[in-house]
Amino acid sequence: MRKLVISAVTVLCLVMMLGSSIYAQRSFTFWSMWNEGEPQQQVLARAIKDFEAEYGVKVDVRWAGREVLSTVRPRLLAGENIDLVDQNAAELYGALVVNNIAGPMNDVLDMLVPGEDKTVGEVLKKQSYEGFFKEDGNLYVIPYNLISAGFWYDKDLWNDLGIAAPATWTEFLEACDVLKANGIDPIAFGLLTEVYRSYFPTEVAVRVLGAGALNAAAGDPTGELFKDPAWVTVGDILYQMSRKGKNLFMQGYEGSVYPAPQMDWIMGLAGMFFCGSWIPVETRPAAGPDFNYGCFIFPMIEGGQGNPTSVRIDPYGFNVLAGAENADLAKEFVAFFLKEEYCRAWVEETLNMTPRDGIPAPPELADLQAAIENAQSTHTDYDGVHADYPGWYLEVFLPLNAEILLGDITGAEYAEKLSTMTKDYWARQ
Amino acid sequence: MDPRSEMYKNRYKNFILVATVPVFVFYVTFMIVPIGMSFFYSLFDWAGFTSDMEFVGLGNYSSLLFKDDLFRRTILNSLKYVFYGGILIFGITLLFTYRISNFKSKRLKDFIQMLMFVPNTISPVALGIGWTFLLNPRWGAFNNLIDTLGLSSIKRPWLSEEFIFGSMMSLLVWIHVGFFLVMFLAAADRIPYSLYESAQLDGASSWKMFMTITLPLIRDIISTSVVMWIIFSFKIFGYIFAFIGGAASDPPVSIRNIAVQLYLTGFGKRTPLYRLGYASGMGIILLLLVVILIYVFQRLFRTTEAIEF
Repeated sequence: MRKLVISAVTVLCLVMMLGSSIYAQRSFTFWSMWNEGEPQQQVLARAIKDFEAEYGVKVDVRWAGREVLSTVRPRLLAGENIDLVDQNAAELYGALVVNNIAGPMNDVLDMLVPGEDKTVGEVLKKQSYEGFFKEDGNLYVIPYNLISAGFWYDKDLWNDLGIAAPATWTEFLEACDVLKANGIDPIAFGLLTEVYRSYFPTEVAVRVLGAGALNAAAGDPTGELFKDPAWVTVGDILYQMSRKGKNLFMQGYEGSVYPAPQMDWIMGLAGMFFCGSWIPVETRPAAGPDFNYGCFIFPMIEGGQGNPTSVRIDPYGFNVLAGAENADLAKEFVAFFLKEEYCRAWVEETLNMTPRDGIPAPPELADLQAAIENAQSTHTDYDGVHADYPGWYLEVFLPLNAEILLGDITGAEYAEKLSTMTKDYWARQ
Repeated sequence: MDPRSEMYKNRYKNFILVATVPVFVFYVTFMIVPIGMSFFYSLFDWAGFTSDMEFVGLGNYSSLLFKDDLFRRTILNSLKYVFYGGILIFGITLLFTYRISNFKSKRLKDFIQMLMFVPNTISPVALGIGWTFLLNPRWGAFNNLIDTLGLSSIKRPWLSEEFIFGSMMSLLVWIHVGFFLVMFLAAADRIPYSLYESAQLDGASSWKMFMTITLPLIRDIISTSVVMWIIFSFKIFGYIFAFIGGAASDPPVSIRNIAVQLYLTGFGKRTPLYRLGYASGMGIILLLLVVILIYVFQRLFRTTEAIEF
């Protein structure tokens, strides 16, 4: 009897072990930057559910919110396996790539989008990712949300005033003159909101010197690259915008902070507002359904070496971590999420742009999408200095930008200080 | 059992030991060990994502104290919060204590106390954001009020670099005056009325009575409150984070204290710094500053007399 019981238990154990190995479900873990209930989360959650059903897999997803990278840190340190994360590209690069935690995503570009005969690389706009290849030839982000930036304006107001979207700096200044003549401050701006403060210095540098010049100069420990006379031009244009130059910013800009500038613009106190493509979503409730959104990219600066069509690309996307145990499955999901169905849902439900070609942006973002499609060059958020040299960005760039945009220093002093402070900064490291 | 017996004394000792051990274990586990670990991490250049740690010895401390202008500014800001904030808060609280403790109507006294305390019941984030709306240079209620009073010449961009620290301080003062007022009034209420009656018979004015009776007899509460303020002011986080920063941006350097700078350095946010080792060094410096300030304060204001009524 005893032998019989032992044999039965042994057989049962073997059957269970065999069964569990046959039915072991493939799975991967995904830590996402979205919070439950947000439209973006809902589109992603739907795609995850479909992916699980179609592939017979399990996705262990955590909706961690915007601080997702801080949240995954102790988990990674504790040895927990995390396969996939998503965040703004600059943050992915600043946190994960710098610390060698991000895995290369080049192979995803060659994967077929499920159910379609095109690869991920073929369906994505090149502009959405081409600026994110590192020196090692690797791409560490596959975008699914395309964010860009430009000057937002009220098309109806500008039509009434007879102003067309300016293409050059001269036209831009003329447009500002018309706005001023009509009692409207040209540009809504809040100096103390640090996110805004470096927009203009970056855009002007990109137009005057070209994409990548700011990044290269920031990383030059000698500070010599800032001695290029073109940096004086950059400083002169910024000074021109300040209260001591042509005074293009709205009244009280030195003490205005988010969300006041965008509200001032919506209320018609300012004629335009430079910001990201999230602005229509944020301002529509206050602007009302009839507000006619227009957008143009930073105008060409005459004599500048930068490509005048260059647009800022600041995508949100996926990275499969370097040590991920289920990297293949996670990458399959990345390709899956770029199916036309979900990209359309992304546009329609979140009112954002998709990096996928051939899907029209929401009407509010149509101008910006056209500018992106027309762009022969792109530049990243703050020309990448924010992610590559965060200390320099905080200690050199931000304070100097405040000084020049207040008109407290001249263009020549701006260039000189950029050079000396950069040298000092790197000497301290 | 006779309390004087050896057995009783031994049992009492055992009871004390048993009662103390869990607290001691808790304190060591959640206070001493983390402080020790922070010090350990502060000796490394470490992002915190992997176990790759580069030993830099006291390098983080020398950078923080001698090279990092940003951190030195946050130390200065922290000290300004402690001293300027302390002077304003305790000055105003004492004036209110003087006025309110003279009220005959208890109901009125309670109502004012409640009114003053209300900001402490509101979320710091809501208060921080609300304050920026109030001080908006263009359409904020404060500048509009100034206009209405016909004082347009004193209108200022209250959130500009020049004024922002004062604006932040005004929020902190408003909140904390209510908090400490409740403590001071509670302390003043326990003073026997007979003392005031005697003083009144001697012809003392209400100010004289406040200075010679109330103030000396609530000094223990004042002293405790100052220690609390030193700790509070170094730890202020939510108000500064919400004030101007909010979702869109890191708080400007002009109002950052060490706690905020520590968080921004160690945990990324808008600028992906992620320097956990360096931030741990900030934490240790913060701890030392608090300990030193409290020690100095207690040395300066220590009294040996117990307050008895």
